[in-house]
Amino acid sequence: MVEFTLNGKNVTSQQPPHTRLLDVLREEFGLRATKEGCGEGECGACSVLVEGMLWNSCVTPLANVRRKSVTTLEGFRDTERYRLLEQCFSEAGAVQCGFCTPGMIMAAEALLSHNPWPLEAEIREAISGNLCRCTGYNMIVDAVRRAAAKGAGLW
Amino acid sequence: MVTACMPASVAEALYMKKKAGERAMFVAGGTDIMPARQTAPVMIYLQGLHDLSRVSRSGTVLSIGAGCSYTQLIHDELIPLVLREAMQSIAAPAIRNAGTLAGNVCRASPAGDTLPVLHVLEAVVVAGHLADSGAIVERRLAIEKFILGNRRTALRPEEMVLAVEIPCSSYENLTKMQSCKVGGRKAQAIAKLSFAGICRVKADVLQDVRLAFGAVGPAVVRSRELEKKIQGLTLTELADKKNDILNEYAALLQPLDDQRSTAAYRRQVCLSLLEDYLTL
Repeated sequence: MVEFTLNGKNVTSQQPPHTRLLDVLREEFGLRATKEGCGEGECGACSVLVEGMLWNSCVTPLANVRRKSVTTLEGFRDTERYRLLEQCFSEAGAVQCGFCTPGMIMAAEALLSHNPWPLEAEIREAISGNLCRCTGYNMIVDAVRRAAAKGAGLW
Repeated sequence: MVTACMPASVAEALYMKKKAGERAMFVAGGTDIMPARQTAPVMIYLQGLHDLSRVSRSGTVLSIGAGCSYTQLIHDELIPLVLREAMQSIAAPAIRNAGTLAGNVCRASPAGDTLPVLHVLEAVVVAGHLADSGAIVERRLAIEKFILGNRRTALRPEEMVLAVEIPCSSYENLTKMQSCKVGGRKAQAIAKLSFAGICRVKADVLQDVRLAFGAVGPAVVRSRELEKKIQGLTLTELADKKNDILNEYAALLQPLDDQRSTAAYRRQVCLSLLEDYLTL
């Protein structure tokens, strides 16, 4: 049993502490926005926020989030920041198949919450652990840049 | 059946390790053991041990707690720049937010990204165990004595790494420091090879030089013997002897062909990086 905060609510997982956080999120709590891509911490499809920092949930043992706060896309969806990111991703054509998108959004949020005025190089660095096989990244970088420009005061 | 322990103190973690010995495995960030799906009968999770997440400088020694993540250290100005640069080249932000420097040392991969730099910084690994009296007993090992080979360390079954220490004299007043990782792409790549160099030049004479290569042998390649030969040379002598030095290093490198690169490429690029580094 491991207690943690999930999208603002105190929860207790019944899974063994070595279970991947990814599996706990998807199977036990039914939060399916978090995807499994590579399963080895290289593609970022499973990105979530732990204490506001980007983590790969596929290489995180449940034990490592004990008494910490975990945010998935579902817990971020009802915020102004999310709505702006969604709008900018849409305008920039940053979503094609969509598989990487939840992870990309979490990576963008992790970046902007620490650095509201990122340089292009900082945007590229921030999403460097998130693979996208459709867009070629330029549209995603553009989307994050638009969100930063329009989001004055939000982050 | 896996027993999970989440100790509340370092002493408690050491007590668990003392009891379980080789059946127990420590987990810090988990970024290396989780993809490998490694488990042990007893898993001891260190995430909650805030005592291990401190960086401190006392006198002439910089001490990096075993629980410090790469991201924490990259943003800490007490950490030597050359080490921060090496950590910045590791994987991507999400891995750096969870993974730890001590984890990189303990996993002892031939391609460990921080290892060549830690060698040239003359890092010392602090291992601790719990004595019968309940006191924590520390043992200090130079990094080259700690990492014995591919995935092999000198850590004893009852021990845990508490900190990595760096003597401040190893990185003060340097003339040139460099850390270089060569991988298939900038982010998320495992090194094909890596290089780290540190030197101090005074009045055109090389006072101190330390050079290390990663992923070209079972452990980092560093030769104090060859470094001694280079120390004391004037810059003109260094330029004259550069080819001999390169040949001597070529004989030390034992790269392999594998899925990431070839032995020939690794050897050639290591020597090119060395040649470039020694062009002062």
